[in-house]
Amino acid sequence: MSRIFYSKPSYSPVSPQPHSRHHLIIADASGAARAAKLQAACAGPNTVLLIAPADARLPEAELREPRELADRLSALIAQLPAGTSCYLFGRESFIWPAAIRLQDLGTARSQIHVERCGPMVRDVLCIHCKTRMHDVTDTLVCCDGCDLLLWNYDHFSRRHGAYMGFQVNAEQADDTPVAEALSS
Amino acid sequence: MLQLNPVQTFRDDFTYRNSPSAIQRFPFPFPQDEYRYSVNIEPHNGGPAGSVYEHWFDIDEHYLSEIRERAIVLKQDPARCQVRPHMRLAAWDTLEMLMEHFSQDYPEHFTLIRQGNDWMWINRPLEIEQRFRFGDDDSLPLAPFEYITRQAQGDWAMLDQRDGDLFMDGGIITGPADWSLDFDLGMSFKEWHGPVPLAHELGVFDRALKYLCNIQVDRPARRLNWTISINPLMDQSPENYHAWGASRATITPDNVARKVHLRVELQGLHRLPRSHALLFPIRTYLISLQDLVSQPGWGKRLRRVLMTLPPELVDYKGLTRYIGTIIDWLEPWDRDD
Repeated sequence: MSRIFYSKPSYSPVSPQPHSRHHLIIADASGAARAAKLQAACAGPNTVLLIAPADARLPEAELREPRELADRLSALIAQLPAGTSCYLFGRESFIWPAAIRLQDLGTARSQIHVERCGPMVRDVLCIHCKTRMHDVTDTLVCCDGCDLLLWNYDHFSRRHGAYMGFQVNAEQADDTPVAEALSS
Repeated sequence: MLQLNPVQTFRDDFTYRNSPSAIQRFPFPFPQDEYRYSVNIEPHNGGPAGSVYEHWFDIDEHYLSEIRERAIVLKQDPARCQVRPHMRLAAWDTLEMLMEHFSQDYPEHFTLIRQGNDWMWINRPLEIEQRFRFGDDDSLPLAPFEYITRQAQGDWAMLDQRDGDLFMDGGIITGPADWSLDFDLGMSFKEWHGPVPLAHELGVFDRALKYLCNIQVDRPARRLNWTISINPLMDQSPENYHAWGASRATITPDNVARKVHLRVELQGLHRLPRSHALLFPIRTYLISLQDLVSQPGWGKRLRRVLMTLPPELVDYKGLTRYIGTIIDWLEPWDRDD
């Protein structure tokens, strides 16, 4: 499939926003290195939230569990000054739900900067049984919930942080393409 | 007076049928003999008496069947109705707009009595008589959006408007043409249209978005959209694609006239007065090929449109396996005489 899907995010490297009163840097394990680089480049005050075990490159980071993220973001956004720039580094399944959470808390889209990090993997949500498969590397994936063979469709939900998976051979059982490695 | 059919089915034995008058008022969507991509949005100012455009929200003979179908789908999959928390005001806007227009346009079936915020709603076909306080969620048996749209034909979405964009922030989608509210909830206008081929590149969505963001209160707009369904399958959802997908491989010259249905959506766009959100009804009409060709010129027109449909759209609309069978079957209606 070569055509462009407008729900599928595209990325360019994030850099510190000048004139921000504060920088809020949020990363998962795969985004830690990029977060450390951005923090080093930030002139002003900053806060680093690491949703991962401790990382030597981010010695001052606040460490949190994934399940704590939503509440912690709402407390932080209430405390930090208006005009705070937010940077998100990590897997798509991590950065986008966090970005949606920030928007729901009143942060403007223009103040949120995301960068995908880590291996070329996707979370895929089975549209039939709603099971979520993590770290999918191919264009086809067998659903862990309903056992159907799913097409890893280029339609992305930022809220779910996942691509849609639907049965690839629902119309004709023997009409199944060959799985290929994801290229983007 | 509008006569309502007894309940028919959009699943299993598929007893759904159109009466002769439903066939005559079917919103045939093709203005010319050739497929052309266009935004095709126009003001929704009403239309000829008895037509699907006469009222803001069309109710027809299939009312009871569609209400029952919606209840079946919601029982299987409650995620077909979702409203994001910030859309609460838009939900009450929706309830008011539907109750006002249903009771004005179909007074034999619906009555709304208001005394301040104390309202009484009467829906005679469904034998409902409900007193409630407008704006008080606890005074209704269901949340206001679900309460009223369970009594309305067609799917309904609520689009929040912010930053010059529209967001799919609520809806009841039990009869979709291959899209999922649960997956698309929260998406921006271009994101939820992500899978549609060609139109993005033609700038269709840029123009449409600009038009939609400028829709004013009491100045609604409408457009028609179409695809093909195998059987009168109202719930043509991605959620259930594993169950209905195989029907696309069953079309033969012997069954094409009965099983293949033109599926037309009358899409409305209404500004909600308090919330400034857009209400987006998607009212679906289904007609079998054998009924469609009973109307002068329709068989020929449909055939010519299908013959000029770009391959990307044949694939997107899921017609690949049987479009040739339809075109062949329609050939006798496409002869010069």
